[in-house]
Amino acid sequence: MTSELERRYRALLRMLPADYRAAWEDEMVATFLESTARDDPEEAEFAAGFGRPSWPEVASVLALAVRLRLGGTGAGPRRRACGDAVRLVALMGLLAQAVLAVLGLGTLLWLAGKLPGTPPPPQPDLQPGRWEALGVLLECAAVPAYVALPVGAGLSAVLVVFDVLDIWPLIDLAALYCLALVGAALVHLVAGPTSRPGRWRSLWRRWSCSACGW
Amino acid sequence: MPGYPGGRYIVGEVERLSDGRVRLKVGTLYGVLDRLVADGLVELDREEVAQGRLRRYFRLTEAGTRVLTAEAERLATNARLATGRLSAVRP
Repeated sequence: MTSELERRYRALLRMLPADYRAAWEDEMVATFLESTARDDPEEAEFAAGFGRPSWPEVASVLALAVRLRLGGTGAGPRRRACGDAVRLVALMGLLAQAVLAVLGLGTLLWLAGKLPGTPPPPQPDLQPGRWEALGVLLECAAVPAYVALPVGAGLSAVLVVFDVLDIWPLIDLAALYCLALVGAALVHLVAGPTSRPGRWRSLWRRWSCSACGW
Repeated sequence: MPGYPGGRYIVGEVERLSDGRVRLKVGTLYGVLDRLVADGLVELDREEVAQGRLRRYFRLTEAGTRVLTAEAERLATNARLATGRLSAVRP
């Protein structure tokens, strides 16, 4: 007889793609039930009737679902295309952020009268505030993040740190870029360089060429 | 190489070998297993139905054994280097 715990775990596994479930679901259920089995008959009965998969179990299935649906190892062509689309959006967001950061830095230097080859601003009272300047400098973290993207290793940390910095209230369009960066970090961590090291690199090359051409 | 028992055995062994520090989650385990199978490092040995439940048994392929040996040697080399350095700074 199917226990309530098994029913709940099977419901959780519905997050996984159907073809993956067809291949692995029964065994995952068996492993889960065996690994959570209790020796004490009363505890076992209680767990069967009222138990739920723990949050770490839920998180592990969620991470697996993201990897499978975004074109990780073993994913079909459709999911690979979907994963590439998400990666491309993340790349575009990150590049836009990097370009804006460089423009912001140039403006900052110009306002401070320190941009070589350009006259100082006509109104000297336009000097940026200390916090504004700090915001622009923090935003410049997008440049190494974008350049580091195809390298892969260690990038997740860069993206996550950058994402935290990007909550800076002075930066326009932060929400849009945050979304792109969270997507990039998530894809990178779950489906990215460990399983398919060339994926980011080839997308990065193609997108950079397109952006330069544009 | 003999086939290892399935998922439950691996979860139990990881916990036992790490003195309970690592408790492998089922989603994590099968996420790793299907990658290893896809990369040809592990293969399905046999399937059985026990007490109405499917059990798969896996085993390392030759390529998997090579990769594991190389990784174990790399880690052992790192550990030897670290131990050597430590013994040099210890009074």
